[in-house]
Amino acid sequence: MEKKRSFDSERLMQFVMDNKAAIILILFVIIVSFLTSDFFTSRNISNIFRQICASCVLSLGFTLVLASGAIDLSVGYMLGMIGVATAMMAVAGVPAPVVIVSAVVIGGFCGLANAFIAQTFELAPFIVTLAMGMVYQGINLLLCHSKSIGNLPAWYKYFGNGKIGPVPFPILLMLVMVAIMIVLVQKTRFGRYALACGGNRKAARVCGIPTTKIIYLVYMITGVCVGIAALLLTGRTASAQTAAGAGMELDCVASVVIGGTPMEGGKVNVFGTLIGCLLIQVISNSLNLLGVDSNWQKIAKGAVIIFAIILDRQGSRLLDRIRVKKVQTEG
Amino acid sequence: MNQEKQSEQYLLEVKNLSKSFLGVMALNKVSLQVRKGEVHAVIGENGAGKSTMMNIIMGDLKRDEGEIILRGKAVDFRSPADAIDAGISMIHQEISLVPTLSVAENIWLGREKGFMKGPFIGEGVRKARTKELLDRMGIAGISPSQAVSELTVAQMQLVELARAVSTDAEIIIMDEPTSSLSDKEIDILFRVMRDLRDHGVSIIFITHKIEELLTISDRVSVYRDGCYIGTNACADTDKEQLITMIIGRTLTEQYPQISPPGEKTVLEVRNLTGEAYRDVSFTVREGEIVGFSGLVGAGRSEIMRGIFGIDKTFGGEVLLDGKPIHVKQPRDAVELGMAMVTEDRRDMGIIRSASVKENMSVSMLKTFTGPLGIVDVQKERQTVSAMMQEISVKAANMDMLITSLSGGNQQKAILGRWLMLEPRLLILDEPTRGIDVGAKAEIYRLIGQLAAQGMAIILVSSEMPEILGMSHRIYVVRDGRIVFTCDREEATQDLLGLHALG
Repeated sequence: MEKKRSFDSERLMQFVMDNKAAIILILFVIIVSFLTSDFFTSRNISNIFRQICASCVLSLGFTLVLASGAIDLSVGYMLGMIGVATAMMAVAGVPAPVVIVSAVVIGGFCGLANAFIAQTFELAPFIVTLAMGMVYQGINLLLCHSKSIGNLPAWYKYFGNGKIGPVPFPILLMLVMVAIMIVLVQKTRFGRYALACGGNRKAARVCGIPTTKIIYLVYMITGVCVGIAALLLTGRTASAQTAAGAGMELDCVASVVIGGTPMEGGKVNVFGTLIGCLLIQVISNSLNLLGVDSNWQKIAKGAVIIFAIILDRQGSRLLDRIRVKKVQTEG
Repeated sequence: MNQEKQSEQYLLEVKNLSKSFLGVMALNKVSLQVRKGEVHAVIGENGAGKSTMMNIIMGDLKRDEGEIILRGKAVDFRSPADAIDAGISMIHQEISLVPTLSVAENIWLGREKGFMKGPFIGEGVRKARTKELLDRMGIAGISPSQAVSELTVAQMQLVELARAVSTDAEIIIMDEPTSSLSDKEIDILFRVMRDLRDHGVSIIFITHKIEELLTISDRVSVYRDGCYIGTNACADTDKEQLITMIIGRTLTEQYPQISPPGEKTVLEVRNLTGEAYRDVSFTVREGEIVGFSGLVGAGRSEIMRGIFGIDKTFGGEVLLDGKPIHVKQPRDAVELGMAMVTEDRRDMGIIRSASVKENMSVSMLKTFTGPLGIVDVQKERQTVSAMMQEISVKAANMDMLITSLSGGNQQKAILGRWLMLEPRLLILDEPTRGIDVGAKAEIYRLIGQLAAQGMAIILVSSEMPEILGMSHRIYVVRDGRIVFTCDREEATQDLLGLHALG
């Protein structure tokens, strides 16, 4: 009797923990839909989705890095740099496929550089990527002489407002990326190895996993995500802003962690990242609809992030306690 | 003998202290009685429970049961600060001084109140007090204004001792203070210790070195496997008696029948040299279990880590099946058919965030990987499930976190991880540490079976009965060298203990 109850509470707790972002999101949406009738309009919903495309794809890469026990704080500035570089190429008349491939290749190369410096000199990724972020920001400003780049060709704007049938192209691209990353991180051997590195890199190495190679790949894939996110963001704003991407790495941390991928690595929830991005966007959107001052919105956003992390910590403590009790009662 | 001493008033008394970590018994009703003004040695192999007991006394760990009585009153310290206030200080094995600060600053760190002149620290008074303290303790050659980073390790230990004395400690616990000192430095340390004792301070001296403790201590208490074995007056005991007490004579564990080894040499190591070992040479044959005995820190694990590519080696040769191999990282070793269960399960064994299944399959995922690199979970589950049954890993299901398993089952899961690869050579570093007796017996049985099937096995263990019960041949390592080797028939605990302790 006793045993059964603790088993059920473990399962329930686990379910809540795995889906906490979705649960908070649903609660939030329910409350907001009572407060305003403007929320559930197709235009508003579509808007919310279009606004998260770039940050979601960026967060997907970030999810992989965090799950592998590393961090990449350069993604925001890397995005800005790739945005400006590709916009300049597009304006100069370079054909679309070349520009698109360049975005991805530059991203991958930047990731390679991050990983190379951190691993070769055995430095903390936190500092390396923080510094590399400054480098990318500097390159960005040098490239465009601190001026934003407009007059993008139509194909570039397609990344912001294109449609395939009734579905906006950026949303489709984002969903495809989510699907690819779910398979890559949660279904392939590479994903397993990356998670093993995140869980215990020393043990992973002893198991015969080529940990150095895996971390290189992790950073490069993250860079590729940044490249695609840069195309999406630049396309949506229809110009490459010099400040684009700045600070986005912190939004990434928020949505990834809310989504259920812990900062400590070893665990991952790729779909949760999408939910996390949605939650953050829904908060701003609904506060907007309710006419709340944008400064207050920031405070609300911060509060929700802290709330989610407290929930995570307390929840896993509770879960541990339930488990220890279970082990003890089983002898 | 103990009966009549009970009437005596002890300064510190530990009674029936017990502590377990997640079901593993670290201390089982242990006792310790310290008189005023004595040097009391505490000895035992690693895992005997010495540090756990000291950490409980200092209020760093909570006890499960038992009493700590200080000056006749039961006490319960919540933190080391409480213990220090009550007159107990501990000097840890690792130096805990701030290297950039001066000797005087370090000694009075956190207790500057007595020197304040308004809002500022009275530097002169502090230095004078430090000088006085060092002089009183007979410590020469250290200036109060010197930066700690300029001192030798031995001098740093004296500064730590001075800090303990400056808190008016009546009891000072010293955790292996001599492990990194030269003979001359040890003499100086011992002189200061004797002086303190003569001034009524009690010193609890944790050590591994028997000869050393016999020269400095008044009494010695021995612990083994979390149990209290006994206390002897140093005048009435000798090295042989203590060794017997430390390693024990209990051959209670059931060891399986070990079949004779094959003829073919699988592993040959020639003059291997690394950071913690030199000129190590040995061989392992097919179906042979080779035991590596010695004290913790003698370099046994380091040798194995070198062979397996976890750490770098500086020189020497390793041959597998007669062919020289060059292992640069564990991956190379795994591909050559070697496997290693590492000493520290938490640090280099389990992946804590992963399930039992993921932990077991991680080394052979390649076999389960289909096109596009996608893992065939069905096949993975079947293989893991079969292995779990074969070596009887007890888990509700394979998807639970590995950390929810008992220590013994975690260890079996890790063994299973390697056995699925069917290695030629299996290195086991302390495979039964922190595991209950039942699981131990199962692991022994498994090792015996694997050897009978022809696997070459290296067994590193600090538990002598285990080495004696399982190995065909035994090497003893001391200070990074193989100092003794013998066959199973010749080996006795006393013989191995003598060579291990030097």
